[in-house]
Amino acid sequence: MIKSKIEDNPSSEVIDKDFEPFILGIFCNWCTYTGCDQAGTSRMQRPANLRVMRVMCSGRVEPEMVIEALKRGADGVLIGACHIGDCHYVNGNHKTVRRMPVLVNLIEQYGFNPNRVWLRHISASEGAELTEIVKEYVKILKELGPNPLKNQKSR
Amino acid sequence: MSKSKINIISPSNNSESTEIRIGVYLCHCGVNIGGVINMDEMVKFAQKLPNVVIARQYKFYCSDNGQAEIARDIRDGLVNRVVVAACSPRMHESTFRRVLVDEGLNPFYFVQANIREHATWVNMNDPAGAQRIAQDHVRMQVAKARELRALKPQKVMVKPSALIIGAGIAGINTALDLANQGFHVYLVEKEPTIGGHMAQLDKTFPTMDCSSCILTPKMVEISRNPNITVMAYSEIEHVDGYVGNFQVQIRKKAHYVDQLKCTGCGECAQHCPVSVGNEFDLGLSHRKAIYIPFPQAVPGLYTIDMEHCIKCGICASTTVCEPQAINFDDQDEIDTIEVGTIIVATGYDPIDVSNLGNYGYGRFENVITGLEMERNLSSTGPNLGHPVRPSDGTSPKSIVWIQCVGSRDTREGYHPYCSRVCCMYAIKQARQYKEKHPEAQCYIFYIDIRAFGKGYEEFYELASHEYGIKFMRGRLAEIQENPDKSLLIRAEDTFLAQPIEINVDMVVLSIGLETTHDSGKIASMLAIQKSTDGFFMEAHPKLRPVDSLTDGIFIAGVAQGPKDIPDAVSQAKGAAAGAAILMAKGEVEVEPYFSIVQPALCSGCRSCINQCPFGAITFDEILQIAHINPIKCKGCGTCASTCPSNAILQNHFTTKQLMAIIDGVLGDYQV
Amino acid sequence: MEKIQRNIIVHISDIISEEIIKDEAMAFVRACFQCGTCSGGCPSGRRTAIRTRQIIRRVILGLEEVLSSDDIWLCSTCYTCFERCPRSIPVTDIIIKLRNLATQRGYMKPPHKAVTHILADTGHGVPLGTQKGGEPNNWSQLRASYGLPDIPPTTHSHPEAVKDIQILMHATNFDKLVDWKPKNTELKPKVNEKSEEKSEGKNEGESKVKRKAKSKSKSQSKVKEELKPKKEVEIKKELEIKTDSQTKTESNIKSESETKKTSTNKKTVTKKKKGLKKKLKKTRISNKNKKK
Repeated sequence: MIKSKIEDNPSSEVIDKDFEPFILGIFCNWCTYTGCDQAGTSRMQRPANLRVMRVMCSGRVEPEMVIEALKRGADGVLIGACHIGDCHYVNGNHKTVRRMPVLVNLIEQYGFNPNRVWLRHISASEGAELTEIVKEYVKILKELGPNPLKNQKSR
Repeated sequence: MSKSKINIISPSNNSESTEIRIGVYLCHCGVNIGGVINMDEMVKFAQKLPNVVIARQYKFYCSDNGQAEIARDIRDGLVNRVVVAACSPRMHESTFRRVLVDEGLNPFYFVQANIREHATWVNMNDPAGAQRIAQDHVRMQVAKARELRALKPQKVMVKPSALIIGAGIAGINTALDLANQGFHVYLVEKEPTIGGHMAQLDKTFPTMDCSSCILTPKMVEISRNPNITVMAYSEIEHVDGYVGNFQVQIRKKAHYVDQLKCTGCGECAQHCPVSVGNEFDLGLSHRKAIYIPFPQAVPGLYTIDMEHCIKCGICASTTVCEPQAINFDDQDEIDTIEVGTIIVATGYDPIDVSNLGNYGYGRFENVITGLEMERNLSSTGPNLGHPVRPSDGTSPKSIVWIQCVGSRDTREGYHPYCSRVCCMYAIKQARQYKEKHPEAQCYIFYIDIRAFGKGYEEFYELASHEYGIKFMRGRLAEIQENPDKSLLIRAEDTFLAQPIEINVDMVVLSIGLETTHDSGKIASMLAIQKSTDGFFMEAHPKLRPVDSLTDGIFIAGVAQGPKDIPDAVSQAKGAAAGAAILMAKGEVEVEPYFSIVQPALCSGCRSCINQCPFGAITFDEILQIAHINPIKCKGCGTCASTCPSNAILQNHFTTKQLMAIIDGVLGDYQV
Repeated sequence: MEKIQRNIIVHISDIISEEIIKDEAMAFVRACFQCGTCSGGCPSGRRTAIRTRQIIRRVILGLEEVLSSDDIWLCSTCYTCFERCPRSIPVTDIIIKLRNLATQRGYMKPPHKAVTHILADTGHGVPLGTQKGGEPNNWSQLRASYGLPDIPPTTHSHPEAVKDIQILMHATNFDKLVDWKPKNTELKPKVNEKSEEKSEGKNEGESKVKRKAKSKSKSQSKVKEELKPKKEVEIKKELEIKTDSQTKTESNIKSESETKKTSTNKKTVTKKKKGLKKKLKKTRISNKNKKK
C-alpha cells in the first residue's frame, strides 16, 4: 500500500494559513467523552477541527485504527483516556499507555511524525483541559502541515 | 445470580439480511443546533450518504411529536436503521432506543450523532466549522449504522441490600428510607460514632432548631432498625462487581474494647490517666484515651485511641471494667458483604485554614473558625454555650465574621466555588451571640450574601433589622493583632467606598467546605468520577443529580457538592429512591457491550486472558480457545483490541464498526 | 501644609440608628441591603449631590458626617424612595428625622435659621409677601376671587398670638438652637419690621414680606377654612425666593419647577399613592379584559 517512505516533518516553507487539520478523537466513554460533553455544556469554544469517535474504554483503541486513520488522511489522532487510577475498567488506560510507545515507533517507521498521534488523560470534569489540548494540537498540526498521504492523494 | 440470556448474533439474522435503510433525523434542539448551522444543508448532505433513504429535520426530536415521526417511519417500513443527530448520546440514547423497541425494531439499530455538545456548542462563533464537524459526525454514525448488529439487552439481578458509605445526616436519611422499605442496609462510618458534622452543630438555620435535638432521634432510630447494620469505625477496603452485585470488603478497625461486652458505662474513661484533645470539639476540650466522641454517640460504646494509650491497664482491671470488655490484642477485621447498590454519602472536610496566612489563624489567638465558634456556641460544647475570647476567657464585645474564607477564590490552594452554607451559618452564629449579648457589636464582612433557601432571606432580613447585626460589604483584607490581643481589621466599606480600620475583640473565619481528604481513594475504588471542584460527579447536573456515572452507585449529600442540611436530606432521599427502584425491580438491564470470542478465529494464544481486569476470560482446555463470561465482562473491549487474530468482537463496538466510522469519515475527505 | 484627608472609617456605632429605631417603622433602616433603588430613582439626586443610599449607610454605621453634610437637606421629601424601597424603609421620614437630629446638634444651614427667625418674628415661616422682583403679590386678589377674606386667620390677623409662639420656642430651647433673641419686648408687627430692617443678613425681599404682612393684617378674615395645598405652594415659592438669593445655581433653576411639583406633604403623597394604585389596578384590569 505504502510504496516509499513518507516524508513528514515540519516544512520550512510558509505555513498554509487555510490548512485546517483533521483531528480524529477516539475518546473513552467515561472520562474524555464526558469531559468533551462538559466542554460543550460549558460552551468552551475551540477550533472546529475535532471529530469524536466514542469507545467504551481507551483500552479498546487498536493500533490499526490509528494507522487506518492516518492512511486515510487524518492529520492527527487524539486518544482520550481517564487519568491513571481513574479507569472505569480498573486499568484499561494502563494498557493504552503501554501500547503508545510501540504505536508511535510504528508510525515513525512508516515515516509519520510522532505528533500525528497523541494520548492525553482527560477526566470527565476537564472540559477546559480538553479545549486547551485541542487548541495546542491544532497549533502543532498546523506547523506540521497536512498528512503527506493526503497530499499524495490530492495530487 | 440470575441466568442472563445472551444473544449470540448470527450473520443469518433475518432482519440483517434485508436491505439496510437508514433514516437520518436532524434535531434543531431549538436554537442550540439550528441557530448555529444550516439545517437544510445538513438534510441535503445526509440524503446523499449511502444507504440513507430519508433525512428529516425537526425542532425537538426528543419531544413526543419528534419521537412519533421516527416511529411512523419505522412502522411504515421506510427505515430499519435510525441515526439521530442531536445532543450527546449520554443524554437521549435511551429515549430513542425506546422508540425502536416500541416499534418492534432492535434498539441497537439506533445510533446518535453528537452535533450539539461536540459541534454547535463548542464552535458557536464559527458556523462553517460547526457545520463541517456536524456533517462529519453524521457521516461517522451513518457509517456505523450500516454495520450495526441486533443485540439483546442483558439483564442482571439486583441484590436487595445497599451499602451506604458515611453516616452523616445524608447517610442516615438514606439508610432509614431504604431500611423502612425493607431493604437491608450496611451503614459504614469511619468515625466511632454516626452523626457526622451535623452532630457538631449547635443550632440550624433558619428555624433555629437545636441540631442534636433533630439528629439524635434519627441516630437512635438507626440503631434500633433491624434492617440496618451499623458499621462504625470501619472503612471501605475494596469494591468489586457491578450494578446489582457488588462485593465490598470493609475494614473494621480495632476498638480494643469488645463491642459486644461494652455497656457504655463510662467507668473506664473516668479512670484513664491520658487526656488528649477531643476531635469532636476540634481540640477545644479534652477526652481520655478510651473514649466516646460525645455523650449522645451511637453506638455509645467505647474505643481506645491506641495512638495515645499508654497501655497502663487501669481500664482493663475488673474493678473498672466489670464486663471485661477491654482487649488490648484486638485487631482489624475485614468483612466482605454483598450488596446490590452503593450510596456514597461521605460528606466534607472543613477547609483547612492553617494555610490561609493573611487572616492569622493559628498566629492570633482570637482568630477562630466557624466550626470552632459552633462548638463554642453549643450548650454541650467546651464553653457550655458561652463563646469567649481564647486569649483571656472574656466575652467578646465585638465579633467580626469573615465570609468566603477559602471559597470563591481562584488562586492556587483555594476553592473557586461557593460553599453555600457559610453566609447562613455566620448570620445564625451572629444572631445567637446577639441573643446572649445584645450589647455586643457583630459585623459580617461579605462579598455577597447568598440567602437562597426557603426562609433564609427572611432570616437574613431579621438579623439586620431586629438584631442590628452589621452587614459590611467588602472582603476583609488584613488583620493585625494589638498588644491587648484585640484585632485591628482592615477592609473597605464598598457601599461608601471608604476604607475601614476598626478594633474588634474576636474574628470568626467563615470557612467553606471541601471534599474529604480520602475522596480520591473512594472514587478510584468505586470507579466513579470527581468534578473539578473535587466533589463526586453526578451523571447529569440537572436530570440525574443523585446518580453517579457508574450504574448502581448513587451520591447523597455534600459528597456531591456543598449543601445545607435540607438540601443534603433531599438528595439523600433522592438517592434512596434511586437505589430502591433498582432493588425493588430486582433486575436491571445493562448494555450488552460485552465481548464474544469467535471460536473459529481464536488461535488459543491466550494474550487476552491477562488483559482482562475482571477475570472474565478463561481458557477452554478442551477446545483450546478463550471463553468470555458475559456476566463478568464489563465491556471495556481491551481484549478485542489485544487479540492478534481479531477473534474477539465487542458488541456495538466491533472492529468492523469502528473501522467503518474511520473509513466513513475519512474515505472521501478532501483538504 | 494642608493636612491630608484620611477619610477612613475608624469608629462604627449605633449612635444615630438608636435614635431612629425608636420608631417601629423606621427601625427597618437596619434591614437596608443597599440596593440603591432610592438613589437611582431620586428626582433630587438627578440634579444634586444627594445620594440617599449613602445617607442610610452612614446612619447604619453611625457616622456623624451624615448630620453635618448637605445631603439630608437636598431631599425634596417627595417619598419616591419610600414608595420603591424593597425593604419598606421609610427613607423620607428617616431623612426628616435626621434633619431633626442635625438641628438638635446644631447642624443647621443659615437659610434655615433665617426662616426660623421669621417664624419667631411673625408666626409664619413664610409670611405673606411679595413676588420675586419685589412686585406686589396678587394673593389678596386671588383670595378675594375665591371669596376669602384678604388676610388669612393666622398670626397675620392675630399679631398678639406671635407672643405665644415665642414662648413655646423659648420653652423648647428652640430659640437658643437657632440663635434667636427677641428684638423687643413689644411684639407688635410694627416693631418687628423696624428691627428687621436694622438686622444684618435680611434682604430687601424679606423685609418687604413683613411690610406687606403688616399692611394686610389690618383686614381681618372670618373664614376659618383654608385651601391647604394652595397655601403650601405659596410657602414653597417664598422659600425658594429666599434661598435662591444665596445659593442660586444653574441646576437649581432647572430643578425649580420640578421641586415645586414634587414638594407636598405626606398626606397628599399617601392620597396620591392610593390614587395611583387604583389607577394601576384599573389599567391592569382593562389590560386583562383586552387580552380576553
